[in-house]
Amino acid sequence: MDNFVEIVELDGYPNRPDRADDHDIGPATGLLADGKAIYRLAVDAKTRVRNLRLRSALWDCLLKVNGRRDAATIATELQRPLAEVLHDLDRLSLLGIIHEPDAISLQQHLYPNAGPAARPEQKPAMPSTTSPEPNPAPTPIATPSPETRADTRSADCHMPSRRSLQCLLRLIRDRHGSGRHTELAVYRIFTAIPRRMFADAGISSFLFIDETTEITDAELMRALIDETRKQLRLDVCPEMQRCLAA
Amino acid sequence: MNEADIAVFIDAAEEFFRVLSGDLPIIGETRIEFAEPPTRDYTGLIQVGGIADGAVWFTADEAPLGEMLRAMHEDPRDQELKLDLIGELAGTVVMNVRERFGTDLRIEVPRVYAPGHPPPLPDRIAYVVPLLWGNGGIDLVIALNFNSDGAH
Repeated sequence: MDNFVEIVELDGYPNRPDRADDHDIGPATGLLADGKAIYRLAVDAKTRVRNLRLRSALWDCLLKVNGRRDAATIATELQRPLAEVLHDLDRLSLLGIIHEPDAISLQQHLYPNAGPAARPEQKPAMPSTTSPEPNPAPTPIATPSPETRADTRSADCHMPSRRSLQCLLRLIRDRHGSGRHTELAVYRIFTAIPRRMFADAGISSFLFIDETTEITDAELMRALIDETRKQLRLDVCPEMQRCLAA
Repeated sequence: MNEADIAVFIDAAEEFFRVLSGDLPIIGETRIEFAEPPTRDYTGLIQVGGIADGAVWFTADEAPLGEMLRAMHEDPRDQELKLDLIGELAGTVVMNVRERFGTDLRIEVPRVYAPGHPPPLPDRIAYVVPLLWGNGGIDLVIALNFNSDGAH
């Protein structure tokens, strides 16, 4: 557990003992004026972080998000590979501490024309509590079938992620581990989608090394989600069912 | 047909190189091609039917085939030998896949294509495995549709 750092409370703020100078987490922010998508802190980020133990790498990312930065800038400033930073940002997003950029959220894939009021209410991935409770586990929102219950713990309803495709890839990786079988599982899911849909979405290839392909086509994203659920035999909550039926 | 089944194609390819040189090829950056799948100078293509349909092929530049021939103590400049070699590579995979699946998967005899004679490719999304061997590229391309629910 050497790579974990205990988060302690200092004057109501989450803090690390070695970060006495930069522990202050400010209010949630929106998008930059130039339109470049950035991550935002959750409104209750302080409460969520207070009782968590975060890896120092996650903590570094969190502090950068607090500075209203996008993922590429965070990677540059931390001198870390972008893929690693994206992964850590996804973890923070899963923990409900930060929000992914609105422009590429899963819900916008599913509700491209709907305003925030029309979207399902996003339930917190963790209970929002101020009572000290070490390492609270994320609340499972998905409803797995008995035979797949152990494998579907990460299939949260809203699957928060920087990119919805990356979220799907994470689900597949959770099932298959890393390596060739995961790649082939991804391939099998892709082959179930008509090839023309990728062409229509302007996607010519997907490189496993960086996984940075962005899918902004709602129809394609819905098809991929549906096929992933089918092939991984994931049962999801009623809210996601409504999303997929939208 | 599932992920482990498809891995048979890749395992067979690796085995070919291991027998040839004692070393496994270096696997490059794998990718999925939604547009036109790759072909190089020489191609050995296997048509597949049954529990999956489409094709699997090896496609190689001149240079690595020449180096492979040199490793086999053959003339590295002989184009006919290069054509035979790419066919042998595809044929090795056929043998392994037949052992694995029997009649559940219909595997045709490999067809080979020389430079200037592009092979007919299936209209499929392709999984591309670059095999790094010497000074040039060899791609293993899997372009299949799956006809079952994944169980085999």
